[in-house]
Amino acid sequence: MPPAATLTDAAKQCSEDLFTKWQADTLRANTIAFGAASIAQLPVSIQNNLPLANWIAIISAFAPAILSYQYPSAFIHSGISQQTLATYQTAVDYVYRFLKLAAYFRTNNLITNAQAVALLAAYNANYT
Amino acid sequence: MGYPQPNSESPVVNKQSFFRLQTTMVSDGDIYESRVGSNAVALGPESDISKLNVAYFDQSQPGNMAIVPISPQRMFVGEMYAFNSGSELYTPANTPGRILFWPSELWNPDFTPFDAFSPIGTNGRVDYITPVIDVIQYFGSPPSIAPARNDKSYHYQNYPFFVDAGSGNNALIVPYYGRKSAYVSFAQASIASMDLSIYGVNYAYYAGNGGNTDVKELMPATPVPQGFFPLTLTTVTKTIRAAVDGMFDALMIVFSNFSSIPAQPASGPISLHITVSDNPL
Repeated sequence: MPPAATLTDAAKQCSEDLFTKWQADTLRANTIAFGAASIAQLPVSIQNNLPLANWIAIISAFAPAILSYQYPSAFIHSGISQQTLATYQTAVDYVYRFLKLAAYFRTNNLITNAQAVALLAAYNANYT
Repeated sequence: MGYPQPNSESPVVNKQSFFRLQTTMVSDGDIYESRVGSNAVALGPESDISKLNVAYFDQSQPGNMAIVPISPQRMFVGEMYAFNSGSELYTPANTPGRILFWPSELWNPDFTPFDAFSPIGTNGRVDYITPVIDVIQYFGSPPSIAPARNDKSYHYQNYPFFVDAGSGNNALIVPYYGRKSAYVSFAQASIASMDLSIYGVNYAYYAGNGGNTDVKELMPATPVPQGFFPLTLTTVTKTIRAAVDGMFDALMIVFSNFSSIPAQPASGPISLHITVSDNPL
């Protein structure tokens, strides 16, 4: 999908965006890069950054475990294995929740506009 | 409550045997942390959320992070430590290895339920009972069995119905995560007649209006004529059972088809009573 205009829009479309990356077999690399770009905007020395930084900790710890799209299946009529589907779904869950909280934090001035713009840019650069 | 969250270290300073985090959600991205370790973690009695993820520091796991879900059926018993400084960091983010809590279930306060049915109308409205997260860390001896959730009851004697010149609807959305049964009872003495309908709602990863949300009708529009307290009310009731009707994130009570309405905003007397329970009946 086209780049999202707001964090809320990014959350709205993240299931489709991550699906495209998953099918292209770049979801793991994109999520690792998204985590690295986002955590740079959320120094933990600032109290209000902690919830979002904690989400990036979860995303970044999980990202290397995202399986390739055509993970070898144990069955003769192999399709997409359930393991890879599960890691895609988990990535969507974590990224969606991070974006929704980031949107709330921006609306309530718990993060700055510059932070919100940078987080959105990190999303668009890696997922759209 | 939301953010900033309560200080998890205060109960330790005050020599309590537990830390309880009880808060209404502010978004479906809610995440909370604890800076204190514990012997057990369990859902609290007032939690609407029925499944909560708990992350803790574990060097044997990728990123030094282990995750365990807890629910009314299953608490976590075991020593769990929170690391607030030093080298015990979640990687590669390099954030402190504290204990983290977040709901496993979704909540979408942007859900506008009437796109699938009829326009909400200029003065139609959607009222949410905001879900509550309730989690307890035990510093002392943990309970021997997972603590149960309380039933929750909501009772309204006055309710602000908003109606436009056309057919504006009103909806009340009640958390129903992991519940096995519910009872809804409604009677009214304020409006010539209205329809009452009930739906089960499962949220999806979509922040827009309506969107990819699963909605199932549990009770079709049922006329509720005006009665008079206390003896001539017409009470409409519905018992919802998970085994029969399914399982949902929320129940949506819809008031519609107002044939006449007093001066805005109309209000009681009504008798709206909703009980949700983990008892499967």
